[in-house]
Formats: sequence, structure tokens, C-alpha cells
Amino acid sequence: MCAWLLAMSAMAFGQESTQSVSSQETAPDTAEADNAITLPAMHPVSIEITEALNSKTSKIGQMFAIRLRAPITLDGKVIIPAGATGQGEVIHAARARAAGKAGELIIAARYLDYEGTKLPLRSLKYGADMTGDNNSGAAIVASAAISSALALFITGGQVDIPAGMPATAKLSQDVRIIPSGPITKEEGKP
Amino acid sequence: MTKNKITLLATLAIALAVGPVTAPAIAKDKAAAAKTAVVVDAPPAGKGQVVFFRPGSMMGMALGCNVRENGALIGGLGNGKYFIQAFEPGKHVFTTHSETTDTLNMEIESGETYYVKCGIGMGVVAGRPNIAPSDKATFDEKSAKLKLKTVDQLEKERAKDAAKK
Repeated sequence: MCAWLLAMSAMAFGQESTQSVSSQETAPDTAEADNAITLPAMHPVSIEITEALNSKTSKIGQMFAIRLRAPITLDGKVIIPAGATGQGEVIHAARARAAGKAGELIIAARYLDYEGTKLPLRSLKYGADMTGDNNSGAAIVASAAISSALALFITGGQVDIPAGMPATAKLSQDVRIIPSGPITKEEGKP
Repeated sequence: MTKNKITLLATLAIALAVGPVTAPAIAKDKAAAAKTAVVVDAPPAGKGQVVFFRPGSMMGMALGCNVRENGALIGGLGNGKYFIQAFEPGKHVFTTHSETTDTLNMEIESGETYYVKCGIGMGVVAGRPNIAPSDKATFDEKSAKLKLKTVDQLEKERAKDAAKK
């Protein structure tokens, strides 16, 4: 009975989803819809941490400000210009203690906000610079080889992340963007 | 020949036989170590994984470093051991306990590999195991000298720990 109810609810959900998609498909075409661009999941983004963080003073769950450091581009076109703001979260913070326990800090990127659309983020890596031509998949793989999947900063004493620290992240899911203005070509691209 | 002269000659002979230890030689050693670094496979589809490791050290070498989540044993790290464990994506809280409890909060994402190092710090009565976030570079540097704890070994260890409770 329970399984049947679940199956029915799944079917209902499926129908609802289908209706939702088809209503979008049959909606009258607008200039906005024509311009819609989908940024794929795992697309790399270059960000900076705009707030100073410290293993002694930061609290687990604390949100902090991030900013898009370089434009998000797709096929040589600027989809989202640099400057979009967003938030990250402190996952783990432990201050340095006596007997050799170093300070520990783990942070995660949560999202960027572009004109009301949230771009969910994952795979934060500390310190990788992906400006200009370096903003490619190869740069992401190279940074993955250097650091772990989280941004980890450990020193003998406390961990300090200064404001303006560059980092990289990836989109955690596909994001549909309707650009508000004309799409420009990425600098240095034909 | 006096005893001092013999010692001096012996030292010179050893130095000539071994050759000078230069910076490039040290760099070569590091490169060799990196070449023999353990290659960690990607995690299973839809999961993330953590490489827990404990570099060999004289400090607290007899002490264990049992890593737990919600009280359940994930695995024990003896001196110079490592193991790899896959996890569902999401937040995880790992602990290790001796005189005090050390806690490490992590967020595991699918397809990612994380590194956690156990070290033994000084305690009042006994050493204190400490689990801390680490990275691939640190693991690679040490991994050639670490011994893998197999899945079978981990399962036996967990069953034994569960039976105690």
C-alpha cells in the first residue's frame, strides 16, 4: 500500500514536471527566452574571498562574503561579468592550541548572486588564479593536483585568510542565465 | 697512529664513499619519493572519499588513533598507516578520543578526495591524537612509507569495536 502510494505520488510528480516543462516549451517566445544561456554544472569560476577569516575567530557555520574575480565565460563570450557577489560558509574552525595543535580552517563556497539568479557553487580550492586564458579546464585539473578539494590553510599557528584571497570553485548544477545586456566577447579572444 | 687520526681517516673514507649531499641530490630524493607516491583512485560514483593517514613518528608511536563518526569506528590508524573510506556527500563530523576528544567537521562533495592526517600531540598523562585537514601534496610526500589498511582489516576492526559495545 505504502509502495503503491509512493508510486502514485511519483507518477503525479512526474506528470507535474512534464507539464511544467511542456508549458515552458509552449510559452510564447520572448527576446529574453531566446537569449537564455545554460552554464553547465562543474563550470569553473574564479572568485575571491572578500572577508578576512581566521582559525581563532571564525565560527563554524559563519557565512562570509565572496566576489566573482574574473568573468564567467562560455565559448569565448562573457556570460557574467566580474564583480557578482555571493557567500561562503565556514565548515570547520579550530584555534591553535598548546602541545603543537595547529589552527585549522575549512571553508566552502555556497553561491554567487547574479541579478537575482543564484549560482550554486562547490569544489572550492584555495589560491588558484584563473584569470584570462588560464580560466580553463586544464587549470582546474592542475589546481586539483596541488590542493585538496576543500580550501585548507594550515600553519604552525593560527590560520589567516586575508581579504581578497583568490580561489576557484565550480558550479554545482546547471544554471540558466538570461543576460540583461548584450553578450560581449572575452578579452583577447577572436 | 693515534685514535683521533684513525677516527678522522674513517670519517673521510665514509664521506668519500657516500659523496657530498648537495641540494640537487635532495631534490632528486624528493622527486623519487613523489614518483613512488600512492595513486589514489577516484571515489565511487556519487560519493566522495577521505584518505585518513598517519605518518610514522616516534612520538606516541604505541598509541592508536581511532577515527569515529557518531561513535561508530571508521578505522584505527596505527603508526605509519593509512586507509581510504568513501562517504555520502554532505556534512560529516569525525572524532578521535583519548584524554580529550578532537573533532573535525568536513563537507564531502561527490567526486572529490579529501585528506585527513592524524598526529599525536603531547598530553598530560598520555599523547593526544589529533585529526586535522591535510592535502594531497602532504600525503604524496609520505605515502611511499605508509602501509595501507585493507577493507577486510577495517571491517574486522569495526566488528570487534561494535561487539565491545
